[in-house]
Amino acid sequence: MTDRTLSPVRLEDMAWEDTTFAVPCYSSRDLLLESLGRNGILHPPWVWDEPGGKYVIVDGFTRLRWARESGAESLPCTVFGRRTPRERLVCLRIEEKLLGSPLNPAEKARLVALLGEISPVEKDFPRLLSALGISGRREIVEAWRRLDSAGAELLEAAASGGICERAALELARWDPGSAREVLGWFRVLRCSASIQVEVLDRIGEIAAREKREKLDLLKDPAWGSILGSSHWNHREKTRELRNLLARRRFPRLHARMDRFRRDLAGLSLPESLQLVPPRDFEGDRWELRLGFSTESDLARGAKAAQGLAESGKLDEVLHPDRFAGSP
Amino acid sequence: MDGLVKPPRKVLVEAGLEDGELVRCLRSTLPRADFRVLEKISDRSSFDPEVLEVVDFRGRFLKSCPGTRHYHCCGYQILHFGIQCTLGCSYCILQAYLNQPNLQIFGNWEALFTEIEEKLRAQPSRLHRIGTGEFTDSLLLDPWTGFSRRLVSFFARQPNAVLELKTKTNHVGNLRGLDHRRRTIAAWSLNAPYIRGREETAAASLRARLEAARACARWGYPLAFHFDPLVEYPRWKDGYARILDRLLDSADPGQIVWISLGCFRFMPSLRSAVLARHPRSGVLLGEFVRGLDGKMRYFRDIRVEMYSFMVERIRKADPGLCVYLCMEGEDIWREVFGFQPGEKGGLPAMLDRAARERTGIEDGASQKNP
Repeated sequence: MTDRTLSPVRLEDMAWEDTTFAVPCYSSRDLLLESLGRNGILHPPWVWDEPGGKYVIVDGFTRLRWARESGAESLPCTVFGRRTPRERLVCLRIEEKLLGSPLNPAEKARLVALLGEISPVEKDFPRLLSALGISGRREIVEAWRRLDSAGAELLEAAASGGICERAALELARWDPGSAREVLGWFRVLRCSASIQVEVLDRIGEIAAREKREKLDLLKDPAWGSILGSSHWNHREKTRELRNLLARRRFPRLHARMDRFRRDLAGLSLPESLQLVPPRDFEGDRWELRLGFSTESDLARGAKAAQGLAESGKLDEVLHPDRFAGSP
Repeated sequence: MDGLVKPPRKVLVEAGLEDGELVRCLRSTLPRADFRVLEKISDRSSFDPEVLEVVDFRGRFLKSCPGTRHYHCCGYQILHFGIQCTLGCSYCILQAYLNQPNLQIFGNWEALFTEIEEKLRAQPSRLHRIGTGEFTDSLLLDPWTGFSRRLVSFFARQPNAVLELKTKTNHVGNLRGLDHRRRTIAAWSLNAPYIRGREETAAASLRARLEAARACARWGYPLAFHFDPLVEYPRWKDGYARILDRLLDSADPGQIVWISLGCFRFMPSLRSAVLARHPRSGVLLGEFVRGLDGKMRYFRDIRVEMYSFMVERIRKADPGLCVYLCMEGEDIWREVFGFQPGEKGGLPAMLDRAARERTGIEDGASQKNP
């Protein structure tokens, strides 16, 4: 059993500056402050009678600050004795958080960083990591620790749901300037988690392909004209930005798509006929779709299809590389 | 091998194999290694580059090359004699085999040879092209296992089979002096110098690979080369032209049975492994689209351009040399070669012909080394 007692502790004896066990949530504490104002402290904070002579706060930072600001001089606290090992307190702190309200990514990142105080070979390490829903693989643990030290702006965005967990973990790898710039994009776009990840992947890959710094790429005016547009709403801006990113990331594929569209326009097909290439032009299975509503419609469409097949123009649309140099 | 491949320091042996030929050979070639006999070697998740596991393999040793209906397959048969590789090439699919990260070699050689013999006897009129370089490098562990000596001698006696040993090492010492009867093709995977330096950092240098190929040619072995994966990067034409020139300067094209070309392709699940293990790799930066088999492939125009460039250069050196595309569709074949394999009896038949013509073997007949 852990050495602990419920005892009054003078607030001036608290080690206020020691935030080792703090787990900031980076979101509003209004609900808690409202409850404190109405009911006072319902659950005693946890403190550690640390060998240094002060009481280190383990749990209850907001409650204790509220008490101090309310003029209290002492408060009943759960006091862990000096012989309580620090690692044990880390485990208890994490377990306490796990039993509370759902954790946001910023809190999870802090808890993973706290877990770093426990040796990975201790059985509590994998148990608590698993309870946090995090794989024990070294690079995954490191990614969460990196997020913990990524700075308040990114942590606030992750805590508030402004960016998803995967995007936050990725941005924690980026240089702070680029991460800040993209956070600005996501505030404008308000796009889904999967699109956030796609956007980050695209930016990283384009920067690597073009051998440019991410920040330099992000300052490109092309993006700014979309993000700052007053004509488009956030969904339209997301669509336009994704299209532009895809064009930059896959230039040859898009050049071929453009060429196909030009060639198709040159065929002057009736509206009832639609020529559809294989997806991404992979394979040799093309489709000609014919829409009709009457027999005579069908006959006209079939005749147009026959005309297309016999025109000699189709081959150039299907195999433009054999006609290199043609427009 | 350029000092890059270190001998295993710990050998875990499954009970029952400790007195077998493989373990006896390992004990003599690895006198300082720590040998431990275990009842069963289980799957594990952590990789230890110093460990070699010798297991009693209970599955099929011979497997068909995993072709799909969308792309032409060479009809090669894989001799599964071990798994994993410590060369650590950034693009390698073996990284995704997370439950078997350690080097593993199958110690029940008698069962392996019995299965091959039965298979060859069951289809005596067919020429079997068999290779070992699918789930591991064919010669990575050969200095310590000596497996190639057994294998080459075995295939020398088979009238209806050729063996292809495919490697990125220069571990050819054991091939010297064997009575191979030209039934073993010594093959190297090659790449542009830039890709070798950036993505194949622990494999032998291109110079070492080509020197090893020259040695094998001197010992009478037919040769083969595989440019797979071809990787697109900004100056790829210069890079691949350089390695092709070096290859064609090093080897007599008449000694080469075939050259295969395959643009980099990967299962989507490999992406996370590459990013985690090789964050500086550039192999994922190409213009990939999802292929008809679910694998990510370069956009077809890029593939056609790369293949056409390679084929044109090879054709200049030897118009009759068999060049083939690994896992490509008819449309790509037609654009690159002007025909598709079906017009020549199918890709397996094309390779069978090349094997017969360039190795000088005839089914059912044997030939002494030159």
